[in-house]
Amino acid sequence: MIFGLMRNLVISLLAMAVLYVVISIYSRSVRRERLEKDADVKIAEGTLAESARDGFIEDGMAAYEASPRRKLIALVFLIPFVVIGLVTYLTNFY
Amino acid sequence: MVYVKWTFRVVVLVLVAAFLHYTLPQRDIVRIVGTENRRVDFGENSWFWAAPDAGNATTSERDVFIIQTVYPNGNTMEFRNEDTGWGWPPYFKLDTHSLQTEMADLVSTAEEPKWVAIKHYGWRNNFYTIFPNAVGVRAVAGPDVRLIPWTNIAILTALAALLLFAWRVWVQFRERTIDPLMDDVEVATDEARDRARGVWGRFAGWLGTWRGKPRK
Repeated sequence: MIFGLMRNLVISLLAMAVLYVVISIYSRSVRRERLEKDADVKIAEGTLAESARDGFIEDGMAAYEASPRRKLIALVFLIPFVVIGLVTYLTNFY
Repeated sequence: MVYVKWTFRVVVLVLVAAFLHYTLPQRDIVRIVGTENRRVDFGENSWFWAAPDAGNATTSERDVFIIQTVYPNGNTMEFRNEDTGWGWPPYFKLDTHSLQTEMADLVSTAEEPKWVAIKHYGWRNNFYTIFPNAVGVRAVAGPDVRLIPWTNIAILTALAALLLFAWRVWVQFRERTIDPLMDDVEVATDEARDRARGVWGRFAGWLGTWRGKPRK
């Protein structure tokens, strides 16, 4: 029984690891796209020099990598524990 | 080709719908008329039986609790009552024995009916002798109460959100990774074509002159 639960948790954690990687890459990509668009708008307005475009984007990405928002993605690893706990409680003890 | 595509889509859709219909919980309002256990030797239908009680050994035959019920319209339905343990489907049901006691407590007669809502998943099928697995039971006021399937609403919403997310990820990936790559490929093939025209184009042009075509 404990073995079954363990196997279940290992499989869900593997699935969550995949989800974590996908969300990280996606979120980074969306962030970079937004920075590129911001940079282009600023260049059009004249508030950013054309040559500073790459620097602006890299600075923005560095700020994103260090932000707490980025670390929130790790919360996906909590999902299996919460769901298994909740469903077990509701099915058997509620 | 169009038929193949649509047949494929319909088959996938039907399989997904059948899978969800089998796995998601449903509630039936019934009157319990009896509870018993039967020894079952699993055969071709072993797919449609769950796990032995959590902690017990896995064998090819065992006793299974059965709950016999009658719908308000007089039709009958039999439920099995088995642990799912930590396996599939993920109900994590371990309380088979207490559930059986609750069911036995709610047995009633046609003259003095006690209506109950039995939460279950699975199908009843006579050709395979398979039974839906009861997961929970509670007494309800009468045979006509309206039950809102909150669990299904939540699960299907979560599934839809996951699908939407997968689609967004795919679009983003295509836009940012595949399309730029394809542009590179296009540029490369254009260059290759120009280079090929160098040798082949001159040769073809020369052949053309034999048929009176002017060189380009």
